[in-house]
Amino acid sequence: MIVLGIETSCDETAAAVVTDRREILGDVVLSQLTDHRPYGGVVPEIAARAHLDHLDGLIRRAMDEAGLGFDQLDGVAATGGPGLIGGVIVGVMTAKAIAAVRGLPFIAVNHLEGHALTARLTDPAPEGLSFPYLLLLVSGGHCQILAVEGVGRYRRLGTTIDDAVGEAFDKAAKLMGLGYPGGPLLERAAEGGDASRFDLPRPMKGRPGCDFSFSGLKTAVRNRLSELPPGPFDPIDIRDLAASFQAAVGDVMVDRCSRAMAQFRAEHPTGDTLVVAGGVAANKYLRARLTALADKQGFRFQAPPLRLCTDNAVMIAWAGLERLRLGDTDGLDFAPRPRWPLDPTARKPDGKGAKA
Amino acid sequence: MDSATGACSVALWRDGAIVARRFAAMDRGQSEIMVPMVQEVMAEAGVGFQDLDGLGVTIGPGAFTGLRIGLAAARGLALASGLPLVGVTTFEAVGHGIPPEERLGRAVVVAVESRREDIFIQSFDNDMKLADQPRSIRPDAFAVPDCPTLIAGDAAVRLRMALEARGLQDAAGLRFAAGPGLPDAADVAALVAERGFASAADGPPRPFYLRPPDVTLPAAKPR
Repeated sequence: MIVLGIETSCDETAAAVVTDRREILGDVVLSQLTDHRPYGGVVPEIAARAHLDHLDGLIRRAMDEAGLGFDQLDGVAATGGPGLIGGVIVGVMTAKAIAAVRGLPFIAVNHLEGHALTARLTDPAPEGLSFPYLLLLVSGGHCQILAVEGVGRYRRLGTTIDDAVGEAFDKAAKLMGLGYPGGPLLERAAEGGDASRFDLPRPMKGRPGCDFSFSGLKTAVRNRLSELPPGPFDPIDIRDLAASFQAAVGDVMVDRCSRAMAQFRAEHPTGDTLVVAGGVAANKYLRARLTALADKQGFRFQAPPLRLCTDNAVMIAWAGLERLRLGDTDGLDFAPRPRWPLDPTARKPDGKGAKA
Repeated sequence: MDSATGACSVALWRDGAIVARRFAAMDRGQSEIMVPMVQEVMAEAGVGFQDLDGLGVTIGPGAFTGLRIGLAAARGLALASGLPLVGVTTFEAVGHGIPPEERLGRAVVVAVESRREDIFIQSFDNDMKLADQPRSIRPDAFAVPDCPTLIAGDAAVRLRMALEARGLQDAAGLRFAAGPGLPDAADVAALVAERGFASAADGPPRPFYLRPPDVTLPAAKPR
């Protein structure tokens, strides 16, 4: 079984081809980073225009890489949401059109489901990763802990009540004058810093449940910056503040995840794997903290390779393939969904700024 | 195919005539019905993609999201079928849709809704040849042409209101088209059949937004 996947929900335009033997035959990603950098964030209209300009050419390249014609596909999958709707529409329309021409099944994939299932494609064990497992999804748009019980079966144990963790990195980095995107820049700035120098809060730490909150941490960073001497920032101050920020995020992650692990284990005694996915999984410091936590709690730690943690089309093709195997496909009248929770039964988190 | 403004339509042209057509006036939801419309029209005409010589689509201007729906679908169809794809502008499609008797002896101004303060306009002479450059203007900045002119398009209503505010709606030789002024895939198909597919060799048609994204660069930070 071979599936073409298309991803256009944020600022990466991507196409990929995967097989049910867990092979990646083609994988092309075009980052729009330079288009958006001057604005300090993703501009939806600029993103939508770029997706349309490049998507058909990228699909052609992915198919060429795979050495396949459209007739050799078994299905076409595209991110159907959640995300920036202008971009999602471009990917969905393109996929529907290919499906119509070639008489192929179309699968509208939840972008988060793509992140959630990638570990089943990349797990090094020969038999792959089986359900259930615990997923920490941390990116610029999301911060959730989910029990992954099967394809299409996700139970949310916790989510952010305000900012996503990647968003917190971006905002903190912006306040520190580090530029965009802030995650990798802040991580680099923190190298060798004194993480104990600045007093920053650990929002939600020790509280019941597994929810997150990061807006207070961002405010604290702003306050610490305002207490610094006037004039240009001293690089040492920024280094120590970045390290202090990262340590605070790490403490919160470890606290929330250890609670989630206990809850997951109580409900799923056979589950033994913590999967971390999303762009923030690229942060080496956080990864080390979570690996140590997993070791301590007797969980296997699994994170897909870096290029499959950030947005990509391999994960969409794979999630589409998992759905197609179960006969779960969509009509060509599918309506793109700007909002699309993985666990529709999850209660709305407390907090005014709740997004996810 | 068209979904550039407040409608969604698909039509199939064969040997000089439209043989199947779907048209729905709608401001949103084109992403849901566009591809099923393609399938219905082809089924009704009894043709498969291998029977087609090419594809045509409106490239705008119009609603940014709407024109991307049509273009993404059309470019996807072209990619998967290997068929040539050419674009026509919303001005050309709307202009082609005006009955010849209605525009007899008149120049034509096509005014397309932007759903913002401005409108998009372009003029044609009385042989429907392009007479000026497409542009975005505020309706109250419209200069009444000095020759008999028919105003068409889905922004004609707003243009008329702006002219009324200036007392110019009855200016000599000025008329407003009777139809709703929405582009129709039947006109897109007819125009493309007339022009052929040679321009498809230059690559897929690009969207014609006529306005840059609404975004401003952030102010420089204090430190």
